[in-house]
Amino acid sequence: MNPILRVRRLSTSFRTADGWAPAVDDVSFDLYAGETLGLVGESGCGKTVTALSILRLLEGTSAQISKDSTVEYQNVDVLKLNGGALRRVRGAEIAMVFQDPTTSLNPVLTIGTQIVETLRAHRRISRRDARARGVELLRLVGLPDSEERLDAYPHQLSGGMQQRVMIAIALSCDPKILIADEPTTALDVTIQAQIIELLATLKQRLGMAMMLITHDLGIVAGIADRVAVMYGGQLVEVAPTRSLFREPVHPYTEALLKAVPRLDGPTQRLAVIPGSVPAATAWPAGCRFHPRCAHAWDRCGDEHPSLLSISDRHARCWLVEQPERRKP
Amino acid sequence: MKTFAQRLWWHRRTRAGLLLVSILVLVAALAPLFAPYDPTEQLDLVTRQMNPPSPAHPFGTDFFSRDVFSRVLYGGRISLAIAFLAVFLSITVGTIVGWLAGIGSRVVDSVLMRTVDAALAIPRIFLLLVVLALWNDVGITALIMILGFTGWFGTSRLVRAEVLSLRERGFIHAAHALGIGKLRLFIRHLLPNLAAPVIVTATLGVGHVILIEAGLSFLGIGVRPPTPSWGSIIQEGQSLLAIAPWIAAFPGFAIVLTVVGFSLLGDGLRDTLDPRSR
Repeated sequence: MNPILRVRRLSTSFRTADGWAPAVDDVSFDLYAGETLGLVGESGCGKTVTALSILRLLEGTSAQISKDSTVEYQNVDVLKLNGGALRRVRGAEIAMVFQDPTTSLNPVLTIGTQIVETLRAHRRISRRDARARGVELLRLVGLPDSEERLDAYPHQLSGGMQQRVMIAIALSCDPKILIADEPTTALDVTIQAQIIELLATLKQRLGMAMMLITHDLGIVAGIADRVAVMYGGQLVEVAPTRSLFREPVHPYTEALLKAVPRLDGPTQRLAVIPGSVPAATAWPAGCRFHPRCAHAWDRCGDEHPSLLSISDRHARCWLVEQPERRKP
Repeated sequence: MKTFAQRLWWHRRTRAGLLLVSILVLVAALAPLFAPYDPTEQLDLVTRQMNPPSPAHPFGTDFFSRDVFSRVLYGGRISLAIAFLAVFLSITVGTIVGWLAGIGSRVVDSVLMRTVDAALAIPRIFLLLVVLALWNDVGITALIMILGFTGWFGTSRLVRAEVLSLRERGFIHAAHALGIGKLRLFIRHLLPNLAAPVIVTATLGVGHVILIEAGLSFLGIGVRPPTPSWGSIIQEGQSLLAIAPWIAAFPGFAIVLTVVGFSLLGDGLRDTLDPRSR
């Protein structure tokens, strides 16, 4: 099967006072039609920058995507598209839902205006038809009284409803890929579950591929088919969700999973990862995780591992080649 | 949830400002209805010269036996009209320039803002004095233009700063990510968000321009006699302050009331329109 999105060697650096900071470094992955890929990692690991780079939303900032990066959407390199073609991809082919719905909707425009506008930016459609489609979309994302909601202003809706509206806007042009960047972080826990469930249902119903960016492993375990773990701007492990949770290969993934409290099994002190993430301008030599890794040996400090494959998964760790080095 | 009008009315000081401004605007607009005399008519130079306030002439009469009450009403008409139009002009120019600087490239921004900085370095009253002194016989239209075109610098800086911060707001990024074009973003999404600060500046600006116009007329280079404006009436009453204080006092009160009214209204609008204060 051919991937719908093929990201290769994606590297994005920011110009800082201390030189170039590689926020995303050599990230390669595939997204297949209809699958949900979870992109996880702690704050600042490059998850969001990866997503923004895919749609080239960092243009006009101090960020620069390296020349040999490619982001192929249906065999067309998005990074080389001209302005008009790029705009047709954004929203119509690849849509994005952001973290905080309260700031992602324009406070002075009605919900309807914002849906109609997105539709009309991508399709030749009359205002009346666009409005009808708006009602349909709001119903699809589970907003009651969708007809009246169309004339509401964002501040008249709750945070959860606003996120539903954002999802409706993102889905308005039937995108093939939905990138959801921490869509539930700004919401309270009960609403989080509803939104995640809604996203899963819609993905199924509309046959989209979804890239779900989150730092919540619970969410990923619930709905992702595959998981990509990021550390220090790089992918450190990519694996089907089940095998990743059952048997993490990369020590970082392993440590992350140990740091999550579990309902099943005995209550014990949660593990922590010693040390902290170094600044993006000062990555250690060799494997970026080795100063904090429980299994590290000399090779880890000298040689930088690439993403190595084992069966249907990949990990950026020398343990793949030398599994006997893993400490019990 | 209260509506905008209800919130405005709820605020006691804003309500005072709103009432004051509405009454003044209404009275000025309907001056011919309320004024008992023609403001330029010399009624009777012998018996009605500099009469103190009386039932027949509530604000007294001036040196030329004209009814001060009628003159203040008509003068308000001129003063308010000049102020409204001049502010409209300066707000429009200021918003356009500030918007262009905010959305434009770094070069456009620098050129526009350095120009504004340079213009702001010259005191406005000095600028006005030079222009008006060089320009003989300025009509009211010209006066409005001059006041308008010297008053937009501050607004443009405010609007630019506002645009720069709006550009970084989530909803602009979100709409951009969904394929909305740049120009549409800057017009449809940005401009309406500028309404609140611009309305507030405009309201406060009206009081300010009334003061400036009064000052210019007082110096004899604004509205020329016999046309009454609050400033020019005060100027005429100035030399008679010791013997007929009412001539200058009543237009003076009118100016104070108007400026206070617009300030109260402006402050109230700022509080009501600013989402952070809700």
